[in-house]
Amino acid sequence: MASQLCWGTNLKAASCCGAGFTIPSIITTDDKAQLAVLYTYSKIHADVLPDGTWRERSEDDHTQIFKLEGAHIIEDRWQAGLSLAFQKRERSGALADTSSGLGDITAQIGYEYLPDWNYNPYRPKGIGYLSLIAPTGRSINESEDGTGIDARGRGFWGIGLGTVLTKSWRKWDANANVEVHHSFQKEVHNAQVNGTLKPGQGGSLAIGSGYNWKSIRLGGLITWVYEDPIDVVGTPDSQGQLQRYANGSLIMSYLFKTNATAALSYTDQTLFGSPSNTALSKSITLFFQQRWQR
Amino acid sequence: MKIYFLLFMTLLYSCAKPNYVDPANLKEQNNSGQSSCPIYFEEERLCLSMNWTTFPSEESVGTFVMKFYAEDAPEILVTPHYTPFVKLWMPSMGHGSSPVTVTKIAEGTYEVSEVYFIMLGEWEIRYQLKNNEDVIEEQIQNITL
Repeated sequence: MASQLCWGTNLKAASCCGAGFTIPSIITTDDKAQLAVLYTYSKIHADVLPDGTWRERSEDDHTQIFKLEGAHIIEDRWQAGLSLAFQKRERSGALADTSSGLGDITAQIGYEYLPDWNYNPYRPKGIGYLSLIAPTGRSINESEDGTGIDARGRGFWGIGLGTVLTKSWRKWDANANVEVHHSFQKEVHNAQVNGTLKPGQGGSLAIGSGYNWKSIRLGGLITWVYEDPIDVVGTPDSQGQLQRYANGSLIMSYLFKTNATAALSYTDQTLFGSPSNTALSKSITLFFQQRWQR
Repeated sequence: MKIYFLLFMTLLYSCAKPNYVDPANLKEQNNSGQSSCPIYFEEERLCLSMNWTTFPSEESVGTFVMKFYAEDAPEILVTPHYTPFVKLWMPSMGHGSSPVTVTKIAEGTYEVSEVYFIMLGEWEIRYQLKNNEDVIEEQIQNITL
């Protein structure tokens, strides 16, 4: 039971410029509903250029994210979920500033296409999902003063398709999540841009594993994230570069007898992958989830 | 056991390889150079040179001076007919930075202050000649932080 909880696909916020494409909560247990509250403190450590060179940040640039995630079974193997985030970003340095507000909202519908009814020793449990992202958080391209401090989202409508796979063997467990998404272009008219922003496709692959001891689980997760370039057609006319980074997470969780889980995780974007055209952060997340049985 | 070996190898080969560069070493590369006409505006047949007075960093905003002069007479500074404007742009991510202030300080000479790049990386300084809101001509200088 503990192995199927809290393995952290919700910890995929891009370090720079608001959140990345996030996956809302998915029920991977036999419960009928779950509600989670997350608090994340994230600090930018370095910028990585498209040519792969790194620049270490000396000034403080950190974000606090309060997130609420819920999911509910709607019919037998079908489920629906929603994720809301509130962000506060603070930056020191020459243009020290603070900004806070709503991030992007993500909704998803899932279907358990690979149930684990007969406890097959090899076949995992699989849940496919379709997600919709609403650009309620402003993107860095729409920043009102150009500083980007008010960027709290990707800023594009998007749809995604993915699958979560979980499997446990006694005290060990493994999980994977694969998703691809498409972000839709949008018109922007402000002091920065007068034209059309054209994002493309993106995707992510997460692989994790954990060890369960009584009510405690220790787990690790690596998530590789890719985003197509964002081109600007209009004024200015500009061709973007692809973005790539990987999150490495360590997660410790505790399963209460009241069908709740608390977790603490550390995520570092400087450890894995071949990052490009991104800002890399290190973050700590506190997580509490309550579930209700069928 | 084979599974754990494969997982270990995956982790090993997926480790990031940081290649840090100190931005302090990049200042001189980012001047407009020694060419007699480093930036050319065809519309007004004017050359433009720029030199940093204060190079921007994370802790402080920067200032540079830009000078317009005739292509065939570099010693004579010329005020353009259209209004000079400067925009900072990060093409790889498709966004700008905070607005700069352009102040005329002498004939054909402008001080560009409040120059700040909101993140480290490859930027463009877009020099524009504008007629109200219309960009008549734009020339781009690349800068790496």
